[in-house]
Amino acid sequence: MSFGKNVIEHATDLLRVLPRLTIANIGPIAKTKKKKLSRRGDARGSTRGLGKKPRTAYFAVGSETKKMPFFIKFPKENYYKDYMFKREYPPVSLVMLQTLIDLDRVDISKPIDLAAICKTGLYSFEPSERHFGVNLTDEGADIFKAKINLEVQWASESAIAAIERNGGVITTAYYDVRSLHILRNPQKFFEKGESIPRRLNPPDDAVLFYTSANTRGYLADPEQISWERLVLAQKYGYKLPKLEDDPDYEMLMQRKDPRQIFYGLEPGWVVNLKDKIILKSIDPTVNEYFKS
Amino acid sequence: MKIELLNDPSAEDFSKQLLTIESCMFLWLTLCKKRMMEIKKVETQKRRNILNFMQSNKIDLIKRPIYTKIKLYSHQKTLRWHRKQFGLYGNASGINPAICFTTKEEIDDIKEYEKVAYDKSFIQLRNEALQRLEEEKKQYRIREEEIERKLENMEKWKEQIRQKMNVKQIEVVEAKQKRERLLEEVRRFFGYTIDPKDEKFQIMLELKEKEQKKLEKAEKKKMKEERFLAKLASLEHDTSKNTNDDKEADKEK
Repeated sequence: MSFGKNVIEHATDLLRVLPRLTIANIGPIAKTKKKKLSRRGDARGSTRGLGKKPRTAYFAVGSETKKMPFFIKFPKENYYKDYMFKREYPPVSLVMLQTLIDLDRVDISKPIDLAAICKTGLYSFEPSERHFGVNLTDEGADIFKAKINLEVQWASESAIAAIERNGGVITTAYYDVRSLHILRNPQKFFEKGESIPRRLNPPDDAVLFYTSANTRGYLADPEQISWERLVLAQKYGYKLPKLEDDPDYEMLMQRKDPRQIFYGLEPGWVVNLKDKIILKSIDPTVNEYFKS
Repeated sequence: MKIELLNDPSAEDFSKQLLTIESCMFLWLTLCKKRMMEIKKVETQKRRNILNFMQSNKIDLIKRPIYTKIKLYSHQKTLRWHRKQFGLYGNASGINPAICFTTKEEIDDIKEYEKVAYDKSFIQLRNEALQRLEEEKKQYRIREEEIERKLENMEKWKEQIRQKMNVKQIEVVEAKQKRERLLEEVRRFFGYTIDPKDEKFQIMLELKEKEQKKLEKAEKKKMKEERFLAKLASLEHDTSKNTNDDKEADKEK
């Protein structure tokens, strides 16, 4: 019975029409391609085809397995509370100062600063470790003999007396962290080509220290400071030498403005070490900010 | 100059012309030599320039300013880099020093930063610090005054506590003594030594305790009656007093 075409005739008709066999037309052989196990039942059980292990209890990464964890073991001790917010002042004794002066590492004919002490290379001071400057200590108060204009960040009473006894002058000043980095290595700062910034106010803890005449703060009243000099002289039993009669009066009276970082350089100026130039801006808005 | 000499009509001698020609040749040769030296230099530099580091921006073995003709990397297109070049090399870097000053945006940023904690004047800071000191001292004083007030009454309170303690002790002692009396009575009743835990002993104890309770109740009643009578007497006395006062007031009127 022939209803229409034969199978063979069908096939030959198709062959005339269909495209040529290529790799793109052929599918893969069965059993060579694995099925993707993306469905729920494909995992071959709870162990996912990996078999049963002897220890099936795996603790969380980093846990200490039923022990008291290390950070809970030891109780809190309040003596170290807020240690990261406290300021440190690494010390310089009067003995150390005297040695620096005797060995000509420091120039007495100019005012002595944090920068001068750091330049000697014998004072270790890291602003990144919450060090805020120099702490002048008593050791060597009976040996000290030098007339200097000193600027320091912390000083005790007897250290102040030792310096004033020899006809010198001492002030305590606060520098914020950026100014400390600048003072520590001024060459590095000037190579950046930036303008000198302003010094910031001291924090609330330190305001009383730097505004009182007892400690010769840089924000204190100069009349009160001269009064306190008399008081100290009477307390420690020495005669206060007169500064006005001194030939180095001008050098001893040289003090920094509260917003000034360097002696002789104002904030807002640009200093170039290569050409040895100081540049000052004409822009009034800029000057208004830096001179306020 | 030398060219004019050649055309000079006064130069009759051929030797003079030769000299001028020689000088020209000499000039030309020196110029050629110079040019050759320059070419040699460039070539030697090129041969030494293995890694192209004379013109590169990354390698900076010999510190020298990088001129603006060279192509800049992204980190070199910043203000900061240009300021640094000026700071290191000065005018030789070819950079306008006006960029080194703080811009208006930078000043605004600084002011915003200072507003947080560094905005106050020095006088203001000092006054605030002194105020804080005074407040601390105030609180200290207040606490001290409280303590002084309480210390005045200290002795009284000590005695009160001692009395309370004594009262308790006394009660405890009395209770013990009562107990002992009862036991003695019961022993005397029997006449011979009995263990207190025996049944007969305990029966007698209960009877005696009941008797004592009755006595105590009777005593309490008596005390109550006495107090009541005393109150009545005091009330009558008061009322008589009041009536006397009224009478005196009436008399005065």
